[in-house]
Amino acid sequence: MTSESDRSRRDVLILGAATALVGAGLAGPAAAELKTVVYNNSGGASADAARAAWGGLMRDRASSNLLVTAPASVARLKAMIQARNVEWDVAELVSQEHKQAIRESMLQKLDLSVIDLSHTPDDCKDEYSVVYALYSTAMAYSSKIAAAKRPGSWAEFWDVAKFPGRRALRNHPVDNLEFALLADGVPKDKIYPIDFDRAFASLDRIKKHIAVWWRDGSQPAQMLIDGEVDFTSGWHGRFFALAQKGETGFGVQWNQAMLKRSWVGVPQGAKNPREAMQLISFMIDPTASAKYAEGIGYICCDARANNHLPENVRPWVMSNPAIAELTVSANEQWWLDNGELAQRKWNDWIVT
Amino acid sequence: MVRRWFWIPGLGFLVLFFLLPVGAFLLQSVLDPGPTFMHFERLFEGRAFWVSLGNTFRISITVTLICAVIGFLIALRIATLQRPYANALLVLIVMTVWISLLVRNYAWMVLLGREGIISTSLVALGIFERKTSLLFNEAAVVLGMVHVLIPYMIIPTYAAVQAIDPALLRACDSLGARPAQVFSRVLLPLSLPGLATGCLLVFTLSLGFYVTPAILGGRGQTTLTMLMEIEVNEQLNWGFAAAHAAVLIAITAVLFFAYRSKFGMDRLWGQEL
Repeated sequence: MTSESDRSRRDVLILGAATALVGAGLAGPAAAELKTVVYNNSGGASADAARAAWGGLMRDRASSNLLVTAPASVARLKAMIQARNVEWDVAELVSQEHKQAIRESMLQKLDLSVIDLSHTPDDCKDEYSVVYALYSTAMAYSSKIAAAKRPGSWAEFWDVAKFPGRRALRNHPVDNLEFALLADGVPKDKIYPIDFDRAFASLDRIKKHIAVWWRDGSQPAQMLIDGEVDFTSGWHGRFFALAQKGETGFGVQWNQAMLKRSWVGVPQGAKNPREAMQLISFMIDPTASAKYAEGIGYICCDARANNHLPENVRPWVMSNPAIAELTVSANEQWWLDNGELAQRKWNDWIVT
Repeated sequence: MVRRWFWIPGLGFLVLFFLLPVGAFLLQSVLDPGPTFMHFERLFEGRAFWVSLGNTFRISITVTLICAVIGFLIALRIATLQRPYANALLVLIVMTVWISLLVRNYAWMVLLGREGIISTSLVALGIFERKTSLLFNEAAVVLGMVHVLIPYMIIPTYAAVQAIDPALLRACDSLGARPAQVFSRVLLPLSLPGLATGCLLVFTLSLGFYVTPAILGGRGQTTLTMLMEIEVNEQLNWGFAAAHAAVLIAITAVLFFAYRSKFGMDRLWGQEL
């Protein structure tokens, strides 16, 4: 032991206090002369794409700076509304979340004098929200696997003897219950309502062959590049963004990808509702939406947007007819009604 | 009389920014949507809860034990150093806490992955037949958590160890005690309060860990906090999430009071040992 008996405990306490005083990151938005309109979305590549596609329009036509925050969270929106301090002007609401938000009166009605919905198909809009991004949960494979050894359907993904390799799926019931039924031979128009027993029986067969149950959207592409897994499910925008950067370590299988829709709405209590409505009008504008697609591969429901796409982006958007005929549409209403039960069954299943 | 009111701001802060919000959240477990025990009934009948509770405790106990052994050895070693060296080492140890948890956990993903340096080296050395992922299992989670939590063990343990009167050790020597006896009859008993504080800190922090088991673990490492995250962020079922939290806090509180009755509260604040 040290013989310096004057060594005070205060030193130790100071160290302890330093230990406690961490993580107090300070970040404040820079002051701006323009109004600041806050758009909350999923972050990552989609935030960059949003700034590139709509930032200029917001500055020129709405005299506003576009501030993009993340992640998309209907839970945070609920908390902000309860606290009467709504920071977001436009909120991204993925799949059935927009129905959840509407059910709990979190959204304002869309201002149709600002937003032109006449070219948006009926299943992509309602009184409170509109689809701004079609995306998919698709199967992807490592380029190291020979073409003949890449699964072409979920039944083949389930077939570990014929298609050997390390596999990953998302740790979540959404999409996986559908994939399990497709693997079990259910036709794509007969998936809903989902038969839980059949879906979990099918999942039981693949369970021990799944090396990784991913949780974060950035994982699938990264795991393929790192060689951690050979086949995985994943959100196609993440694959698109990396492929655009010249990454060639993986490829995407569009067959039986789940077609999903992401919505936007203006929260109750938003500070700049007028500018928020303008932003939404840009988000479903054909030209601006095509520009957004260049960054992330997601596009709005207005078919005219396809005409503005560069050649290298066209093979990546869900409104491309060649892809659309391969995908399976997710049923948001079923998930709204059964999501909680599905999650509980999934939790009980995944832990054992 | 300064001493009469000096605790008021601290207490006020605690009540306002800790007790009230936590209390309001926990109350949702019995008041959401109306007075109900539904959330607890559902919690206790699901398999996920019991399995994750078991996972949470198994991982926390393993991490605490490993931290205790390693932390104690490090504290002993530092205490024998000259003061400038000891200070430098302690600063280094505390500085690791400044590095983001995410960064440190992702670093392990790089190291332990199938194409990572550990796997490829073991193949090159002929120990592994083929490249193997060392991720997504309990060992990876424990490793990641020990890495993050060890400072919380070293600091209080070191405080206890360095306070041991060196005269005692000289006395041991002159009376002919063997090293094992010095350790078991003098060093360990006198370090125990600091070690116990470290264990309490590490164990309670482990119970609430989310990121490390989520990114380094597999489905066998599903913890209570992961279930809560789903209920809060995705299901918007805050009453059910609050029921999870209430159980975890209740268990932590029991341990805390057990500690207090055994060692006394002042140890935790670092007053005279």
